[in-house]
Amino acid sequence: MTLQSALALAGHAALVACIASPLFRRFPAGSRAALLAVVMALVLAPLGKLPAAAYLRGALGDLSVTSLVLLAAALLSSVIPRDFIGESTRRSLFPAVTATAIAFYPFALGFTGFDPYDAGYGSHFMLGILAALTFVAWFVRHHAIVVIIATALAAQLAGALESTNLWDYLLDPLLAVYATIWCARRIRRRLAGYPLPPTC
Amino acid sequence: MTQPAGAGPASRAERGLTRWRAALLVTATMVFALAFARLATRAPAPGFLAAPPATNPVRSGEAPDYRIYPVSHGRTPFAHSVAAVDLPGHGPLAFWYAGTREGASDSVIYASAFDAASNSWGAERIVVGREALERAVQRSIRKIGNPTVLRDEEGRLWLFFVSASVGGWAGSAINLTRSGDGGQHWEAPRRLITSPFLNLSTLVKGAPVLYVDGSIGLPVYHEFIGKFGELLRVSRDGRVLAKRRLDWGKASLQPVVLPRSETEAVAFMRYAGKPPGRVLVLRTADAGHTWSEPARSALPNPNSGIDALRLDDGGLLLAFNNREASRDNLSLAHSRDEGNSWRVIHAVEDVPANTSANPVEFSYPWLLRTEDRAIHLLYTVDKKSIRHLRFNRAWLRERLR
Repeated sequence: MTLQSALALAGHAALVACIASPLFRRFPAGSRAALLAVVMALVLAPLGKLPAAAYLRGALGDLSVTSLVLLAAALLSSVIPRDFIGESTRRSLFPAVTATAIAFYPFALGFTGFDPYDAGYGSHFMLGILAALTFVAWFVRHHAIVVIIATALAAQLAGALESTNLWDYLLDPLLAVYATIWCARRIRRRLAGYPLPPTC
Repeated sequence: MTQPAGAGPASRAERGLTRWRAALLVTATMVFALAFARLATRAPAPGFLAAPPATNPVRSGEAPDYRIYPVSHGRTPFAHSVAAVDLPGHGPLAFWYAGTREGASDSVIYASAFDAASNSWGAERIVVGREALERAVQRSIRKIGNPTVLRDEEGRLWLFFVSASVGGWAGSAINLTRSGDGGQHWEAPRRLITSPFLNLSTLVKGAPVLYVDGSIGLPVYHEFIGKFGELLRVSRDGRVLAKRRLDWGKASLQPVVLPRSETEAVAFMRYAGKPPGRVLVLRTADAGHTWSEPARSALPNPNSGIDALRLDDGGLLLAFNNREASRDNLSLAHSRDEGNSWRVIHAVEDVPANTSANPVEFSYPWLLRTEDRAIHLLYTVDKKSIRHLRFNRAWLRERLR
C-alpha cells in the first residue's frame, strides 16, 4: 500500500470516528481516546478483501488536507477539552469554504468554458491569492486557517495525496457540504433570534 | 516579594504566543516560497510530437490487400471498446473490456496479440480485473470499462482504462498501468485524479498523443452533469500536469486528437446533443493551449464513437457510423484538407437494421497504422465481439482514386 493510500484511508477512518465521537461523551477522557482508536481500527481492518474505509474511499474519494486537519482537531477536542480551531476562526473559515465551493464547483464541472480546476495544477495567480489569504488570516489571528493552508500546500508539494492538483488539497465536496450546513444553521438561528449553538 | 513587571504567567503566555505566531509566519512563508520556486522552475508547456512524414511510398506492383479477422474468441458474452498499439516486429496488440454483460462486476481488460505466423489473433489474456484493481488502488471498484493505449518513444506501453466505484459510467475515473516488456507484465495500476468532485466522471476512448518532452496528451471526456471533452497532460512518470477543456456544455464526448505539427492539431468528437447529429471538429494552433469552438462537420454521428488517423501524406482517415440514428453501418471517410471536407470511401459494415431480423450494431472504432504501413480498423460488433479489418496502402490508394 502506498503512503498516499494509507493517508487517504486514515482520513476516512478519522471521519467515522468523528461521527461516532458523540456516543462516547460520557466516558472519561482516556476511555474516549481508546474507544475512538478502536473505531478507527475497525474501519481500517479488512472486511473480506478491503477495509470499510476503502468502500468509503470508493464512494467519496480522498478527503482534502483541510478536512483532515479539521477532523484531527475535532478528534483531539473530543479527548482533550480544548477548541483547537476557535469559534471566530470558524466564522471566517466555513463561510469562505461555502462561497468558494459555490463559485468553484459549477465552473469546474463544465458550467462554462472557464475551468478553475486547471489553476490547481500550477498558477501564480492562485498561489498569490492563497498567500494573501494566509497573511490576512495570520494578521487577524485566525491561526488555524494559516495552519490549514500551509499544511495543504506543503502536502501538495510532497505529493501526499494521489492528486497533483492543489484544489484537491484545499477543498472537497464533503467539506463543502459540512461548511454549507454550518452556515445555514447559523443563519437560521440568527434569523429566528435563537442563541447560536456551540460548535462540535 | 514583588514580581518584576512583565514576568507573570500572563506575560509568559503572551511571549509564548508571540513566538508561536512568528514561527507560524516563518513556516508558512517558507512553504509558499517553495511553491513559488517550483512553479518558476517548471518547464514551459511543450508542443505536440507530430508523426514524421512518409519515407517509403507505395511499392509499384503492390496488390491491394483487405482482410477481416475475428479478434475476441467468444470467452465472454460481452466485449466492447477496443484499443490497439503497434509492437514493432510483432504487429498489433489489442485491448478491450469484456464480461458477462456491460457493467458486470466480472468485467476485465483483455489483451490479445496478432500472430503474423498464423495470420490470426492469439488467445486473450487478462491484463487486470476488478479485484486486482481494488487491491492496487485501495478502494472499492464496481466495474471496469474503456481502455486506451499508447506506446511511448522508449517503447513502454501506457494503458489507461476507466473504472467506476458507484453508479453508472458517469461515475468513472481513470486508472493507469504500464508495461516495459511489450505487454507481458504490467505494473500495479494507479488512479489518476482528474475531477474535483469526488473524482467522478472522467473517461477515456481516443488514443493518447505524445508531446516533444515525452509527456502524454490524454483525450478524456466527462459525463456527469455536463458532457464535454478535455485534454490531460500526463508526465513521463504518470502524474497529471495540466488539462485543457476542448468544449463545455452537454453535447460532446470521446475526443480524438491528431497533431499536425508542434503547434497545430485537429480534434474530432462524438456528438451527444440535439439532432442533427454530426461529427464535431475543432482545432488548435498553440499546441492545445486554446481550441476553436467545436463545429459540426458534414459527417453524420448518431451519438456514437469515432476514431481518426493521420495518414503518411497528411490526409485524414476517419471511421464513423454513417447513419443519423443507428450504428448498423460503419464507414471510412477521407479528408485532404484537415477535416474541412470529407469523402466517404468505403462502407466496412452495412447491415441496415430495417432489413434485418437481427439488427447488428458496429461501434467504438479504433484506427491504427503499423510499422509495415498497413492500416488496421478494430471495432465492436454488437457489444459481443471484436473484429479487425486490415488493409494496405495499395487498397487505400484504389479507394481514393
